[in-house]
Amino acid sequence: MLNVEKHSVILSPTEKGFESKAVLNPGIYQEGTTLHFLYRAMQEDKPSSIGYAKTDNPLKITERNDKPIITGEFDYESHGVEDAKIVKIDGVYYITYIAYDVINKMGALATSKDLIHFEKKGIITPKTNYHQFECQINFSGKNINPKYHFFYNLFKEIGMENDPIRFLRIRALMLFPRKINGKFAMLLSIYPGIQIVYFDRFEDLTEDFWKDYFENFTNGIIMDPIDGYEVNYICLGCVPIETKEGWLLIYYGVQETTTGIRNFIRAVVLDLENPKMVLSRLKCPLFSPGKLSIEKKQITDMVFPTGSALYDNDLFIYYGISKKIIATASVKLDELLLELKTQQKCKEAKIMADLNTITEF
Amino acid sequence: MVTIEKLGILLSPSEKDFENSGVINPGAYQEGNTVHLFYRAVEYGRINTIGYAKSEGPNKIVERWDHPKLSSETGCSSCGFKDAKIVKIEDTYYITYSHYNGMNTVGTYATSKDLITFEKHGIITPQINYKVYEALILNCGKKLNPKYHHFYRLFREIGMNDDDVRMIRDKDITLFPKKINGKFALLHSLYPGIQIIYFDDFADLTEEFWQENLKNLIEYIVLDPKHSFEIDHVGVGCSPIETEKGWLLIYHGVEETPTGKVYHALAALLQIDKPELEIARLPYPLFSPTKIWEKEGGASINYVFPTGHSVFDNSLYIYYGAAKRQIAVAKVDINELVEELLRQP
Repeated sequence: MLNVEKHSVILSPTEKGFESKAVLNPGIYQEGTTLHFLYRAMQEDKPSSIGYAKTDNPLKITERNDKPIITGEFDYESHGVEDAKIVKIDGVYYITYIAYDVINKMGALATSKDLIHFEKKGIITPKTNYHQFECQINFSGKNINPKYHFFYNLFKEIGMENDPIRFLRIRALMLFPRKINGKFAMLLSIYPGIQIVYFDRFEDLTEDFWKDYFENFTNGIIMDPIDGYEVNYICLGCVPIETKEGWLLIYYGVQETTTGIRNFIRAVVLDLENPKMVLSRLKCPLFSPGKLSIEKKQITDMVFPTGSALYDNDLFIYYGISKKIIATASVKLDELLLELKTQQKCKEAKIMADLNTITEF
Repeated sequence: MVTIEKLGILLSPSEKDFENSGVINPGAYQEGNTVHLFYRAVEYGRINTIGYAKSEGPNKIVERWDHPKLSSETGCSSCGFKDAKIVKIEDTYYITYSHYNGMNTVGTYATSKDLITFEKHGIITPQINYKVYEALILNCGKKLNPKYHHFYRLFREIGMNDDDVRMIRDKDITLFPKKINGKFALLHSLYPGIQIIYFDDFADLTEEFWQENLKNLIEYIVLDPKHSFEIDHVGVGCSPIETEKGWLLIYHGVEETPTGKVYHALAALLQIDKPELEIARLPYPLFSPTKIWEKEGGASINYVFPTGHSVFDNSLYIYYGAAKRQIAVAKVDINELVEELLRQP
């Protein structure tokens, strides 16, 4: 097993209205030793907003805003802005986030020069309904994982597949922190896998662009579920970290259980110049919920890794727990990369998940 | 391990329009040497109806109708009648089945005195949406398997939980072949389990009845997922088979895999006078999709879906939909199966 150290909780809900119920899923931008946290803040029965916190060390927040920095202003985000991811390319911060309008979850973009003022750019993921999606991916051939038909089948069963306002669900999206071969590279989570899309300008992401993309969808899929730890689906994830071995991508896998789902934090290395190419997928999970003690209670719930920071050789992974609080865990980067290369310490899970042998990490 | 013998395909789609795409999931009623099969007939791109075939002995088809035995007026693609189960109680045949209207799957039934003419009756499963359902089952508290909230959450996420026309999904309604303690006993499947209701008269199955039932749903759960091969959900199944040791229930369980769901045929033993009490279940599938005709074709792969049975001497014949395309038969020694169930801790 890799040695993963779990640290204390670093952000909890406060008495301030906008984050009185939960704080979770922080996107992180690191500048030197400074970390900018853009986290999802929730209050009871209200749309989510994005809160801001800052620190110059990995374990303790030193500055925190008392009101949100991004809120839902437009119809497409009327029921919340969620799960921001930040990169800075050519002097511009690009904040991609999930916009929720009570029907759809789609990917939206905001840009900023200073992380104080934001300019909303609207929805950047496809407004494709499931009927269109089904037709388009059927065009892409038979090799596609059958799970890509799941939501179409579900919507069809309730007579909604052709609803003109109900679009393909985007679970997460993020940009690579630099252009690759001169193009923006963006990762998406469309159930059940993780996909990549390249483009020159955001204006290029038109209806025709996405139609063409889905008609060749197998070319865009990087990874689909592969083993017992992620038998249900996989999802992003932290912004990829550039290392000498390739792009290190932290994502999570979801496992079906008899009473619901649980998830595992996982790691993969993608080729630097062609990140569609998976170089190595860590066979065992990095960690799962179950061993973290909060207020003396054992938390065994869901963990969602969304941000990371690197201090020398220490890779800190920040994650939402139980859709309530934010904690961090760290691993030695060189050990993780070595294990990804050698795969000596951990074992693969059987495809048919055995509840007795897969316990916790 | 129990020895299962797969006897192969019994019925395939025919050239008749009404069943040119698939014939699956037969209900079976046995009278002596005769087995009446009421199967789901699928017309390509069109409606589902219930077809009829007759077997002398366990697997020798001697008669097959060239038109549906039961059909509905609904005209949409894949709408219609599905998955009939037949029992005879006193002098009346009861055929329970699902009806799909393009939006909802509901449970309904027909009665017959002779299996020739049928009288169709109304919907008997709960006609409530997920918001109402959720409010009712919250009364069960934290002991209720959290998966019972799954569809509410899913519908809420897509803004549909309060829809006026989309109701909760209740499937696989199946009667016990005789009354239990003087009452009809009916199995049904609300995700992820198998539940039971008791009633004196079908007219009792009102909205008020279901409200009371759902508030106390936890008391009526027969089986919830337990093993990895049924980790997603379980459902009925053949009409329960009475044995000296208890009701033998052949049901299906759904496994989640990285490339989709796999349907298995499973077995459990339930207490005779109180079948909501589980005596045992097999810790491995009775049988799984392994043959090419169980793994490919039709709309789905990896699918065995037991729905009917007959018993000849000590042999239990299980009729099942295979790969959502055809009907196959498997054979098992019923005593051996019950003994194996009783050996489970």
